[in-house]
Amino acid sequence: MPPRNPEPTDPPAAAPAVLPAELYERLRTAARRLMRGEGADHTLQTTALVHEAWLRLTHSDPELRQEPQRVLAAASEAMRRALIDHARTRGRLKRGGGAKRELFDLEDLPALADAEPEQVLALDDAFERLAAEDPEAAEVVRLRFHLGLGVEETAGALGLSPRTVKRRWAFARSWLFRELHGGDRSAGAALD
Amino acid sequence: MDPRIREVFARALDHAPDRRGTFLRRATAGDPALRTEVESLLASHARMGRFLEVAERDEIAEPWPAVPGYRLERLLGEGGNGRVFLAEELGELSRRVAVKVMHSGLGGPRARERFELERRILAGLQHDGIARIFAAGQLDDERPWYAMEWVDGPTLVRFCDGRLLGVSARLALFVRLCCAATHAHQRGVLHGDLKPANVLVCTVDGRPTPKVIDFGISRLRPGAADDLGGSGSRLGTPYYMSPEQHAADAVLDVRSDVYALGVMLGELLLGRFAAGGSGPLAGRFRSLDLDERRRRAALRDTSPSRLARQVRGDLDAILARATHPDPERRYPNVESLAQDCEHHLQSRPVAARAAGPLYVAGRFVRRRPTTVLVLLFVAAIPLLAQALGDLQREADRATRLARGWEAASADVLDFLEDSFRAVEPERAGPSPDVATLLVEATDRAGERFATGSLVGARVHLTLGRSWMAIGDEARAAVCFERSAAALQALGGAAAVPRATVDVELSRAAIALGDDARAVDLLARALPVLRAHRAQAFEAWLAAEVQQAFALGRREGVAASYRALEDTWRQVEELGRTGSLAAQSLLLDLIERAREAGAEQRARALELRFDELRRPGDGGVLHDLQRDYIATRSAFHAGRLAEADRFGTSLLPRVRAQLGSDHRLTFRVYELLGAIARKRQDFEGSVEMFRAAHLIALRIFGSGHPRALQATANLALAEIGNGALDAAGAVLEAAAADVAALPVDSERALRLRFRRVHAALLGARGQHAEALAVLEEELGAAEDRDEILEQHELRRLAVPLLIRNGSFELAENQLRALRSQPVVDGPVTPEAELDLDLWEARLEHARGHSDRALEILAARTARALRELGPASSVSVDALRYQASLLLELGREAEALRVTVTYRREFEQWLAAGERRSADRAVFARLLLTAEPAAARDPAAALTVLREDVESGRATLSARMSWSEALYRTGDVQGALAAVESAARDAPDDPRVLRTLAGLRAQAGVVSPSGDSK
Repeated sequence: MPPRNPEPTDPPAAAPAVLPAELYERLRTAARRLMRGEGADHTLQTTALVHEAWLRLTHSDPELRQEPQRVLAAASEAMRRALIDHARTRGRLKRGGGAKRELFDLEDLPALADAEPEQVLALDDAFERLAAEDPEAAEVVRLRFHLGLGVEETAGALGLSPRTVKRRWAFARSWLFRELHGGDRSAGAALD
Repeated sequence: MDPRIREVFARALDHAPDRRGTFLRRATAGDPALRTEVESLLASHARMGRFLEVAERDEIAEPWPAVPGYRLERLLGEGGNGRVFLAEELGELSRRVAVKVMHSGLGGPRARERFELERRILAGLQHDGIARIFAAGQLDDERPWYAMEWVDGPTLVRFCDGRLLGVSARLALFVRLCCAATHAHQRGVLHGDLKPANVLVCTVDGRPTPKVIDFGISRLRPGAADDLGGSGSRLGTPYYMSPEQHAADAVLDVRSDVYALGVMLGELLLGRFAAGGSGPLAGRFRSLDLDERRRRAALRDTSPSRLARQVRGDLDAILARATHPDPERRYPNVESLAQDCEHHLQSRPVAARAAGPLYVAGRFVRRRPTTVLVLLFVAAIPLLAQALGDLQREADRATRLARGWEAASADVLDFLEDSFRAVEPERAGPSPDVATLLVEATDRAGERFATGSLVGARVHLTLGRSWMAIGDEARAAVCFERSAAALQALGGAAAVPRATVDVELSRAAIALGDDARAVDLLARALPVLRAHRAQAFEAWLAAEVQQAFALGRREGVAASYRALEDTWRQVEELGRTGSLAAQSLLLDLIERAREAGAEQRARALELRFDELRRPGDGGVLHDLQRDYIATRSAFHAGRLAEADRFGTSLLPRVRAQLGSDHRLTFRVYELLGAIARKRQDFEGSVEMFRAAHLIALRIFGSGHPRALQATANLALAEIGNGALDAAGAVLEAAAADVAALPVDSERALRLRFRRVHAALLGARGQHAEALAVLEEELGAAEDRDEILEQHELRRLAVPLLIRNGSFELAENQLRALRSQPVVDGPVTPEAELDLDLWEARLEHARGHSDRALEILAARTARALRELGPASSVSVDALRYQASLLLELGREAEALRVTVTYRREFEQWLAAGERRSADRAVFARLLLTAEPAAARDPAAALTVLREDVESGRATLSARMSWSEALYRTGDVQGALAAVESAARDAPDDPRVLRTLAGLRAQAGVVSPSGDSK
C-alpha cells in the first residue's frame, strides 16, 4: 500500500534568507575576482561584498529565488552595483589621500589591475551604453565578467551554444574596449 | 544596433587576420557604414589584448601565431596544451597539414616538457591508424610547434552515425582502432585521453580508416626510457577516464586505455549513457525512453529490440570486462579486447563471457535467451520463489490438495514457458514487451484451464501478481477473480489458498477504489490466515499489512503504525524475520513509523533491516528497496551529494527491473526530485516530479490522495523553476479532485494545496493575495502531516510579512518556527542559521541595527561553539558581523570581535593536534581580517613557518606565506616563495599572476619568464 506521506519537499516559495550554498559560492568567487583576490587590502571585504550583494538582491525582490535565470541576472547586477559603489568609495578615499597601490591587486583582472576608480566607473558607463545598444551582448558581459561564469556555464544559463557565447563575448569586449580607448572608427588599422 | 554588425564581426574572426579584409569587402559590399563599424571593432579586437578577459582561455581572443613555412587558415580546435590550426605548407608541395602550437603564457616548464614529449612520441609512431608528424620547430617567442597529418574527416562516432552503420560495421572499425592503440602500447606509449573526439575517420584507398590524434596528455609507460613521472595527474576527459585515472597519484598502465576504449565501444554500439550508472549496457539501453531508443536504433539502421538483442550477451560481457572498475579484472591489454571483438564478429565464443552473469541466466532459460524472457525472469524471481515456497509448505500439511498444488508447480512453469515461446520465436515485427506477453499468457490461461483446475488457480494467481507488479490492477483483478473461481469449485479444502487469493483481490480492489469490497474480502480471509499463520506465512503477512492500512484509512496513521508493530512482534516470535515477506513488512513499518512521528524508532528499524538482510538472499526487489533506503537515509542526514549519487544510479536499475509503473520507481523519482530541489537544481527537480506525477496518475489514478500529493509536489517544483504558468495549469487540472477530497481525513493535503496556491501568488508578485491565503490557513495542527504543513506555511509567510511591514506578525511566525524544529529533511547548522539571518533582517528592517548585531554576534558565537573556529561557516559569520559593524561606523567594536575571535582560534589551535589546513585558515584570517587594524602578517608567518619548512603546507598556505612575507617588507622572500609554488603548480593562474606582479615589483625583467 502506498505510504501516505510524500518525500519531504522544501517549499521553494519560502525565501532562504541565507544564500543558497551554490549561489553563495558563485557570488563569492565573482566577488573575489572583482575585488582581485583574498589578499587585497580592501575597505570592503569579499564576504561582506557578497552579503551586501545578496541583501540588495533579496531586499529588492524577495521572490527572486524562484527563478534561477532571474537570480543569475539579478546577482550579476547586484555584483556590478556593489563594485561601482566600492569604486566610488575608494575614489573618495583616494582623494583624501589614503590608499596605496596594492600588489595583490594583480589577480584576475589584468587590464584593470592598475585601474583607477575612475576607470572602473568609465567601464561601467560604457557597459550601460552597450546594454542600451545591444542587450544580448550585455547579457553575456553580465554573466561572464560580473558574475565570472565560464563560457559553458554562460551558454547553459542563456540557452545558447558555447560558440555563440564566445562570439558575443569577443564582440562585447571589442566594443567596450573601443568605447574606453577612443574608437578608431576611421580605418581598419589591423587589417592589411 | 544593427544586428548584422555582430554577425559580420563574428564571421570575420573565423578568418585568418590577413584574410579578414577580403572577407569584409565581400560581406559588406554596398554598405560602407557597416564595413567601417566592423573594421573599427576588429581594430579594437586586435589591440585589446586580454582586456576584461576572465580566467578561462578563449581562443577567439588570442592572436594567431606566425609559424614559419606555413600559412594558417583556420582554427581546428583547442586541446589542453595548445591550439591546432589547419595550415597550408608553403613551397612546392603546398599540402594541407594540421599545425599545433603550444599555448602562450600558461604552463611553465612542465607544460613545455609535455608538449615536447608529445612531439617525440608522435615521431616514434608509424601506423596507418595514427596521425603522422611531418615537421617541428620553435616560434620566435620560443613556443614549440609541430605539423602533422591533417585528417580530413568526421569523428568516429559521427562517421558511424552519419552512415547509419550497423553493429558489425562499427565493431570492425573499432577493432582497427584497437590495432592503432596496440601499436602505440608496444612502443611504450599510453594515450591517456582516448575518446571519440580524438579519433577521426578518413578514407584510405576507399576504405574507412580510423586515425588517433592528439597525444597531448599521453605519457611513456612506467619503466620505458624517459619516463615523465608515470603517475597520472588528473588530466583527461572524465567520461572516458578509468577509475584509477581519477585517483590522485595512481600509476597508470595500458589498462586505462583499455577502459577508455571500452567506454567508446559502448558509445559506438548503443550511444552515450549518464556517467556513474552500472549494470549491463543492453539493460541500461532498455531503460531509455522509447523515443530515444528508436532514435539510437535508427542511427544503426535497426529496431530498438533488435539492437538490444545484438548487444546483449557477448558484447555486453565484452563491455563489462573492458570497463571493469578494477583494472585487475579488465582485459590485460588492448589485443585481447580486440580479439574478443573479432571472435564475436566470427560468432566464436568470447573469453569475457564465461564468468558473466548473463551466461548463467541464459543457461537457465534453456539456451533460448530472448530479451523478454530474461527480463520477465528477473522480474519474476521473487514471485516464483514465493510460489514455490508456498507450495513446499502446503506439502508439509500432507493433504491431497497440497500434493495437487505441488504437482502443479511443474505445470505452472511449463505453461509460462510455453506462453513465452508462443510469442517469441523469430516472428517478424517488434519484440513484445512484458505487458504484451502477459496479455497473451492471460488470454491463453483463460482458455486453457477449466474451472476447478488447481494448476489453473495457481497460474491465474501468479499472473495476477505479475500484473500487480507492473501496476495494472484492473487486469490483476481479472486474474485473481479467475483464481478465486477455480478454487471456489474445490470447496472447503481449498480454504487457505482461497484466503490467499482474497488478500490479493483486496489489494487490487483498494487500488481500484472499491474500499467496501476490499474490507469484505479481508474480513473473510484474515481469520483463516491467522489460524494458519505459520503455514501460510506470506499470505498471512500480506493480510495483516492490508488490515493495518485499512485501519490507517479509518483511524489515522497512529493506528496503522501500532497494528504493523504488533504484526512485526509476531513475526519475531515466529522466528521468521529472515523471510522476504517479513522484510517487506519491515519496510512498510519503517515508513509508517516515520509518518507517525516515531523517527527514532524508524532509524532503529532501519538498522534492524540492514542487519537482517543478507546479501543476495533478497532478490531484485529487495536490493532495490535497500538501496532506496540508503538513499533516503543519506538525504535525511543531509549528505546530499551522496544521496544524489545513490539515487541517480538507482533510478535506471529500478526502471529496468520493475518498469516505470511501479511504486518503488515512483518513490525513487519523488526522492530524486526532493534531492534535486535541496541542491538548488530546480530544473532537475521539475523533471523528476513530473515523471513521478505521471506514474502516480497511472498507478493510483487521478483523484487518489497519493496522486494529488504528487501533483502538489510537481506544482511546487514548477514554481521553484520559475515556470509559473505551468504550475498554474497543474493546479487548475487538479482543482476538482482537491475539492472532492474528504474533509476530515485529508486536511493536511488540502492545506498543502492552499500553500502551493499561496506560493504561486507570491511568485506572481501578488503578495497581498498570497498573504491573505496564508493568514487564513495558519493555525493549530493536529497530526504530524499538518505540523509539517504549518511549518512550511510559516516559512512562506515570514518574508512576505517583513515586506509588508507587519513586523510583529513576522516575529510571531519566526518564534513559532523556532519552537517547532524542522522534523523532516536534512537539519544542518546552516538551516538553523537561516532563522538567525531572517531575524537579523527583520531587525534591520525595523531600524534596530543593534538588535540585528546582537543576533549576528550570537550566531558567530554559536558557530564557533558548534563548528569550531576553523569552519568556513564560523569565519563567514565573524566576517559578516564585523562588516556590518564597520558599515555602522563602529570600527572599535569590529576590531574587538575580530580580536576575540583570533584569541579563541589561537587557544583552539594550541589545545590539540590540528591539521595544517586549520593553521592555513588561521593565517588567512590574520592576513585579511576586518578591520585592517586586526591584521597581523608577522603572526601569520609564525603560524605557517613549520608547515612551510616541512613541506606540509598546501598551495594556498604557501601563497599566504608569500603574502605575509611581502606584507612584512620581504619582497625577495615573497618572490622566492611564489617561484617555488609555481614550480609545483605551473598551471595555477593565481600563482602565475602573483608571480608576474611580484617580479614586476622586484624589478625582475622577465615578462614571459615562466617558460624560460
